[in-house]
Amino acid sequence: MTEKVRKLSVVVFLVFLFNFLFSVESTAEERVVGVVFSADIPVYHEVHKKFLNKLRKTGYTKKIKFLYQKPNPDSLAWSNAVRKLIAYDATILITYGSGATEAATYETANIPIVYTLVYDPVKSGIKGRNLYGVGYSIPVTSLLRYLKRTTDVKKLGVLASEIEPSSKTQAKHVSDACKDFNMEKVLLNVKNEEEIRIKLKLFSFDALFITDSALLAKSITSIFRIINERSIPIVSTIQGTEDYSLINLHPDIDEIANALYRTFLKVIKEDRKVKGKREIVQRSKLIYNMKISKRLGLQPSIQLITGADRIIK
Amino acid sequence: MRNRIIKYLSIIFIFFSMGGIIAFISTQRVTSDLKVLINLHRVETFRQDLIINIKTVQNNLFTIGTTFGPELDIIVENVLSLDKAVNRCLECHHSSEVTGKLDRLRTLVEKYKDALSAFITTTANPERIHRLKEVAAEIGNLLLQDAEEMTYFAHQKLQYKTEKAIEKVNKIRELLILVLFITMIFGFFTAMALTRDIVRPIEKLRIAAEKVASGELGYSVDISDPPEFAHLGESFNKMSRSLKEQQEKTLEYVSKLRELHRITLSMHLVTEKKNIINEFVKGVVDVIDADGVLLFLYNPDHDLFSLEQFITKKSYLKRKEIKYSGEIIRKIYQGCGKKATMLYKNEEALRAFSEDNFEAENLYVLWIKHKNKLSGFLLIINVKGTITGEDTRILSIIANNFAVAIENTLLYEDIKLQMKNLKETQDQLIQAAKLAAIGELAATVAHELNNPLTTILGYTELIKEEEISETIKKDLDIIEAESLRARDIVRQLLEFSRKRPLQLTELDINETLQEVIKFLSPNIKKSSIKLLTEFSPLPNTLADKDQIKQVFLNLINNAVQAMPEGGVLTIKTGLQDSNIFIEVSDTGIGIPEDILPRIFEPFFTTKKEKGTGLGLSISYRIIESHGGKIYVKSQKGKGTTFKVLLPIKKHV
Amino acid sequence: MKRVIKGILVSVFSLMVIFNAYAQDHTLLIGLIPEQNIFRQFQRFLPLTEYLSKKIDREVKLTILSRYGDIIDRFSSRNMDGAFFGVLTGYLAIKKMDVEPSVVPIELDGSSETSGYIIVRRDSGIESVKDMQGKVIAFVDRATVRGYLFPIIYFKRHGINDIKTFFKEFYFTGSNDASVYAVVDGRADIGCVKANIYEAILARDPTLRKELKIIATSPLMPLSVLCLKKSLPEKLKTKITEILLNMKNDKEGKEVLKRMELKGFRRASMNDFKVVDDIFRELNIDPETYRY
Repeated sequence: MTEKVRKLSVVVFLVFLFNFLFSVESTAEERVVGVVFSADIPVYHEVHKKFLNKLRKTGYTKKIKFLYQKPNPDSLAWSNAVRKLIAYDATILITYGSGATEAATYETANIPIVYTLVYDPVKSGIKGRNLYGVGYSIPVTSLLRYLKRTTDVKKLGVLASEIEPSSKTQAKHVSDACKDFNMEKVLLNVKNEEEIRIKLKLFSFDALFITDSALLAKSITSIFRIINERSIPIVSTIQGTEDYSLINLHPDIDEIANALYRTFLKVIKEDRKVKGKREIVQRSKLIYNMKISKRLGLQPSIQLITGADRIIK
Repeated sequence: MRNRIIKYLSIIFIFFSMGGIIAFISTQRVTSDLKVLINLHRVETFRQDLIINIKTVQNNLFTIGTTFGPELDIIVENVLSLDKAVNRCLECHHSSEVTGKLDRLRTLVEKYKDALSAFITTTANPERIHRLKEVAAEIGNLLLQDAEEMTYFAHQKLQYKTEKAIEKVNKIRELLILVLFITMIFGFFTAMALTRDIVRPIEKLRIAAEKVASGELGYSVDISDPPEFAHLGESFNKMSRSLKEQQEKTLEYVSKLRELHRITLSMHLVTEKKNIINEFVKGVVDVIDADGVLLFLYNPDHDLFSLEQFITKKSYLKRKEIKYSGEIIRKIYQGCGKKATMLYKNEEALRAFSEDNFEAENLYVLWIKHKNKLSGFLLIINVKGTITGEDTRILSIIANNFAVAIENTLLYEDIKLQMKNLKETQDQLIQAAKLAAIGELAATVAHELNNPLTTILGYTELIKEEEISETIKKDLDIIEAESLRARDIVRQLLEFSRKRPLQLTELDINETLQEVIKFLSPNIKKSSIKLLTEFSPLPNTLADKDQIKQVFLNLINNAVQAMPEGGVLTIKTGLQDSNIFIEVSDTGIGIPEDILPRIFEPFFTTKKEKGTGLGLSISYRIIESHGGKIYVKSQKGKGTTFKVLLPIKKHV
Repeated sequence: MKRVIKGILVSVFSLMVIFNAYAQDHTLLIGLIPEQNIFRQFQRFLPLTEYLSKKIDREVKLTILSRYGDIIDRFSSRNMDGAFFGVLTGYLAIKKMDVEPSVVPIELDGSSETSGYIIVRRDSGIESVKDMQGKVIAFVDRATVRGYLFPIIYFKRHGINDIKTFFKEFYFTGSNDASVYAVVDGRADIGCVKANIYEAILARDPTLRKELKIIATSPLMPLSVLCLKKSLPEKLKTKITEILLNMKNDKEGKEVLKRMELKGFRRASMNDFKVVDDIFRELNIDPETYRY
């Protein structure tokens, strides 16, 4: 820990030194790009890393100064983060997750916002003149179908974050699909980690669907701890929660990173001719957790086994 | 008896047959158990086949590469026989637990087949093929595990079943021995019971005969069982019962006689009529069970039969005073032939009796006759049961006795009355003789005394005419006064002994009494005596006025003298029967009881100095000579009452 | 003496060999192309073997042909007398080996042929081939017409010569089911599938109808064709063909058909392979050297 802190402080020091030394030169060339993560969760880091790798090849990184904000998943924190970046004269904002994206749209109508990892942005109401971005869609029905074939779920708990539009939309899609699979849904709307704990303990169900949410992803360990006691499966749509889920269907991260790269380039080049401000990634990855499956005494269907992109053993 | 023997033998037979059937069924069951066991063993081999099959397939799975040779057919064959083995297991087992396990096994086999098929047919990338192989292998392992677990389970079941079967065989053996034993015991007891059944009734009869012989008549034996003996017992009981009935009849008769004796005796022992009636009615009630008994006796004076006595259970009678005219009763009496009779509700005679006084379902009339004359009758209301000839006879005897007893009392009363009269007459005779003797003596004495007294008085007068001292004069006065008094007594004596003829005139008694009171009123007032008079209007009667006046004078004077301290003098007159009565009462000291009978005797006085002892005697004689009577009542300290009765006499 | 004994022994032995050979000859080995569940398939065809055995008085045995591609090799290595081939494997067998078509099974609904579909998710926004550029496509197997060759020729006819450059990625799922679910899950944008299996999946899971749609349909092709080795006695071949054709008229045969869930058989001809033949010609591929 102290080692990390020391390293970090050295890096920060060097960055400051660098900025100081080349400040005159930079201001002419450099553009400030603000990056907001809806929460400090692995999937955002991963996408961002892939995105930076792509960008690095084009050489753009040299002309861009990235300022990062990784607030706690909370509406106020998101707004504050965006305000800070605007105060630092960010010319472009990259937002990860629907929570931060929504907050950004409230804070500025001029600075271009490039959002990513937003589930069904149209239905989630993510729109604005200055908005560009990468949404994604995954067939939640598939997830429900595999779940139903693996274990007979009669009552499905649907955990949704009230503060994130993506989560709400996805919860709605799941709820709508439940009927087709003869499942009763128990919708658990939460605002914070405390509420998650209370509601999970309060309601009973046969399986839990964790919708796409930075808040939920951040709280995955505590969710898992509660659910695990009951020996019921979790299904989720966020990458990085597959270790806690029986089945996980998430958008293809590479595709997302590529789309983000493409969109970002468009915005930074101010290429107005490129049609479409929005790209929707439809490819998904299916992960089956054999460890959890065995612990719950479940046997996956052959389709799931053959179809899964990855099997956790 | 025969039936019973047959019954017992049948039961023994049934026991034997039961034993046989049990043995047969048990053998069948054991055989079927053995069959099940054999089956289980066979199934056990199936299961072992199953496990071998699974193991073979699992081995194939791991030995086979991605390309398939002839091994593929072996796998298919093995899997199919595995499938068959499971299905065969499913066919025989039925317990839900086992079926559940087999179902799981079957599902697993289906999954295994799916996985294997997918593994064999999928051509895509090796990673996925490998994944499928692993899944198949895993299901195979689960299958093996389940099958092995089931083998263990089945093994246990087999052992359990075998143990059960052996247990069953043992049980059957025990059961058979038990049946045999029970049959033997039952046979033994049957023999005992049969012997007992024959001996017991005889013994019972013997005891019964002894009991009857020892006087316990009516003793019955309870022999219900062997019908032959039951008949005998029945005859015996009949005999015993009839003996008892005879005896009871005799006893009852004796007791009735005793009762009759008691009642009649009691009737004859009692002399009071009322008591006889009571005894009689009570006696009848004792003899007959009825709601009530009413006794009516004839009153020849009014030609009526009136209710004398009754005993009723409830308050049957609405009136207590019932009278029937002699005519009606005699008519009924004649109507029923002068005999005791039972009347029923709708009969006229019953209505005549009951009138509106009581309600009766039936009425038994018992006539009471004496010397062939009807002297009364007895009504017995609502007789319970029937009245036998015997009862009638007894009742008649009681009634006759009653009549006799009543007659006796009448006679007794009569004698008593006559004796009393006789004694009274005797007493009067003595009194008269006594008075006559005294009178005679008194007359003689008076005559003899009268002359000397006249001499004394003449001489005394002569002396007084002489010149004498005052002292002598005083003494002479005393002599003269005392001599006068003596002459007075002598005169009264003469009066007493002299039988003057009565000078009868029509007399108003009230008036005469008023004259006397008027004459004596100064004396009365002087003694501060309050006078009360209650005079009723009286008819005139023939009497000697002077003599009557003397009587009143005597009585009132006596009363005044009895109250020296004052008091109340009450004088009453009135009519009593055919007499006039005069009552003189004082509130004085009264006359002691011991001397009361003697107050009318001559020379008897309580006043020592004042009286002559002749006043009341003279009064007594005067009243008597008028054909009346004089009575005295006195209570010491309260006062004395004299009552004079005078017959009302008119001119003829 | 010794020679006599030796001779007798030799003759006995040779008799045994002949007998054995005869016995070997006596068994007819029929191969089955694996479809979905091989065990079910095996059991489905078992009554037919019993029936045939009785009718031709020769033992008839079944064997599974394993993966699509290995079929031809296995046919010769296992010395089979005939097989129920798929339309492509049948075509290749006819081209590579001496086999000839005998009969085609008729399904209960009366069909003996089915087509191939190219499917996408309804929400994918793909309406035609031009929308497919840069997408991911899932084929079934190289050794299938409906699952691979038809889509290839379809794209070629739409001006796409090189699928490797047109699509972002392509891969083989190994089974028709897997292709359908790859599209359903969004793991592939486009899928290729045999029509009868696609319909069966949709019948089992009607919710999928809302999620999937068909972009292209291939011409009809037989589901499977029984091909017999040319070297079999002509009489036997005719007999087998005739027996199978007349099964539906025979009481026992009807019973077997019922158990096989088949309506009957129709005569097969080279015409049944025309579609495949055309594809090979159009693609200019020599069936003899076609690698799968």
